[in-house]
Amino acid sequence: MDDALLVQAFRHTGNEAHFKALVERYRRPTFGLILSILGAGHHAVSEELTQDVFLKVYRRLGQFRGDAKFSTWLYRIAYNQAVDYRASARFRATHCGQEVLDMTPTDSPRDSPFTSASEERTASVVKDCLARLPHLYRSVLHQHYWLGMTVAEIAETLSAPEGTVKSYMHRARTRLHTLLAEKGISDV
Amino acid sequence: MSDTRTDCDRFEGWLLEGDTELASHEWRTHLDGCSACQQQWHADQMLTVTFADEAVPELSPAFAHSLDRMLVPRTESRPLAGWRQLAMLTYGATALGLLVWTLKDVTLPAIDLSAPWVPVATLIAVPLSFLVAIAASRWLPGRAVSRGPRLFAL
Repeated sequence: MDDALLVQAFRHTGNEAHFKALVERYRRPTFGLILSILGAGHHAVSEELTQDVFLKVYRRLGQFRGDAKFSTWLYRIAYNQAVDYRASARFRATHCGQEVLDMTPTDSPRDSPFTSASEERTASVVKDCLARLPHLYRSVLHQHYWLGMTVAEIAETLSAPEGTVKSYMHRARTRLHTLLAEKGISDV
Repeated sequence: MSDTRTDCDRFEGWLLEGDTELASHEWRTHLDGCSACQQQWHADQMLTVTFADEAVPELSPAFAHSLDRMLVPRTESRPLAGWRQLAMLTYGATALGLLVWTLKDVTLPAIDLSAPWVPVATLIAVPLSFLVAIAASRWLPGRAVSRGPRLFAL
């Protein structure tokens, strides 16, 4: 059953199964979109925000007129939710949580400790620079390079044509290169 | 100039699709003479290396369950929709009609307000009608409920 039919069926019958089908279909990409805006190390809060998004959708489904696709409407809510959270004091006060400590490789099989330390420092600088990019640019780079999404998939979550996403990617990489150069990382 | 532009576009297309080392080798010639593509290449490589070992987080298995728990109270207070709402409205209209028809020729007896049963009846009737009103509000159309006070969600 397509999205429009599920939404219509849920609004008319109030049958929870229809809403759950929508959640099942969109929970992963919604989570990915939120994560791509917040960045690595914000896994737990991204999950909380994903739940908040679906709660909002549940409450507002009566106001959804169907002018746009359901997914467009959902991703717009998720995008705004993540951007609002990122601007909030709660995000700025975030400290390194247990999830990040758990993910830190303590005995990774690298060639030497020197290489490992150098690469980790570079990765840290790259993430720092990513955090300074505009939300949209950070989101497209995270979605592609971290979450492994294709341009078509990113275009779906951002409700933009593929050409526009490619243009965002180009500009985002240019901005990132400039920021990396300022940090003294100007060659591979 | 147009050839260079085309090469740059093709190079970026290749970056997005990712490819083999051989293809990478072929692009070296273009990169040597194009600073814009060098920047793109550099940023691409930094991102690739940075996220090569970064785990892609998954939603926890408890996600669906905890979302269900958050939805439960609203599920219970969800207004009736469709034929159920129509049935309740029909029932209400019929009951009101019957009440009016029954009472139109009835002369109510005079009530002595000083009678001992009056305060007792008042104590029972006021909260009861309040609770009935709250319960009845669930039969209102969804938009009226969502705009109404939180009392509707009781």
